[in-house]
Amino acid sequence: MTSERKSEITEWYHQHGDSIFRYILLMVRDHQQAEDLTQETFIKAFRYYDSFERKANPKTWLFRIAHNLTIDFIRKQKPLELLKELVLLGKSTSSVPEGIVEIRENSTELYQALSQLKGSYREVIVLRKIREFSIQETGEILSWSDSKVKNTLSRALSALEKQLNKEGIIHEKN
Amino acid sequence: MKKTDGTHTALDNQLKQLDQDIIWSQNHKARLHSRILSKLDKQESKTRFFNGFKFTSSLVLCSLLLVAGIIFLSQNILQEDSGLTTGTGNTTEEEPTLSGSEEVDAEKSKETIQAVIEEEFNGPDEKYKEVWEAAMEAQNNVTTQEEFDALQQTPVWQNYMNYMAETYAASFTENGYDNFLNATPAFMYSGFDGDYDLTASDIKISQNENNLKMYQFTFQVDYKNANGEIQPYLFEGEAMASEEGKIEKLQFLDKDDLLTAMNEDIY
Repeated sequence: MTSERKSEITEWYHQHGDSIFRYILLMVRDHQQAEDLTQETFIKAFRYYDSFERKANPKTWLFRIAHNLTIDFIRKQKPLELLKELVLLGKSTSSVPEGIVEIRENSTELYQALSQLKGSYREVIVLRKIREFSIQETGEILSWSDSKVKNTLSRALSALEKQLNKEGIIHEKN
Repeated sequence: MKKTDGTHTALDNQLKQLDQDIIWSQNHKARLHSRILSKLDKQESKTRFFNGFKFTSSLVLCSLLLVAGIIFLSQNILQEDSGLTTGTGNTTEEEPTLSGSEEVDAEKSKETIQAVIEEEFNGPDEKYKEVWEAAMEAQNNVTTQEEFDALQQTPVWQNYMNYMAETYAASFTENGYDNFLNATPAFMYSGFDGDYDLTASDIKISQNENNLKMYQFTFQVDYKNANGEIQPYLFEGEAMASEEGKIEKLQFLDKDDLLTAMNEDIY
């Protein structure tokens, strides 16, 4: 029944909307787009609700939808980003978002460094380390094998450390 | 930077802190919530309308099919009544025979496939790199077809071609070998530039029950980069073998993007 569908999707939004917004924001680095894509995620979830297997975790399913939407968006944006970079003569286009979202000063450098990583690295760090999905769940979201998740995360964290060191941020190690 | 006994690294903590330091304006959060609810309402109406439309069209279609079916059947019954018959009474159909039941030496085929995997994913193959570089350097000076034809007769080119043939030709049929060199392609991993080590292991090959010439396989490749770090990469693939146990076709699927990793380590 559609009203049951709607109330479940609404419930999922309450539970996971914030988490999904933050994930998309870290991926696309544009607060307006992050909101639009978050909205699109839940609309899509409503449309394809019947295809959701009840025994699966709704959070993983929603993130999979968000991931697909984000990747499609980023692919469409690539030519524009390249043009922006050329126009701005290679200056970073990953400025801290303003207005809708604020990032506390303590974390702006880390946000910048994360923004400099390539998409797949950024994504695996966000899903594993920030959203704290398991290796298996991350693999389901990204359609990767467990070993690919582990390998890519290892490389991603090395790349992030290198980026932080490059930006002159003193990074404490355990 | 490894997590041990549930402890987190400083970077892990900073990443969690970043998440907490992202402050999403409550107004915008609430506005987005309303937008989503409103869109869901619209979707719900659309879905109801669409479901109704689907139901009505299905009903109409079923009715049309029913009518067509009745007309078809009644015409057939009329034809039978008028005494028309066809056929000689010999209606038995022969079941198609399965093609191929050529005997295939499965064990030999599996050994050949395994040997090719072990060769391709044990590297680097320094000898290949040497003959390849020499051949490519010679090829750089070639500008016309005649010059290229002449190059192929030179020792440097012959060495290159002979080395590849010595390594792989015996495992393949003629077409299979050409395909492997050009399409798969051979030496892509073992001939890679850079400082690394590759070892194939845990090779599992099974014969297809429905097509005895087909084989599926999985294996693992341990890749050691210039920093001495070793990571496993999973592969799967399939092969087709002739009755003599030679490979006609072979394909790998680099599930974990080993090639990307190798590229990133040198560039």
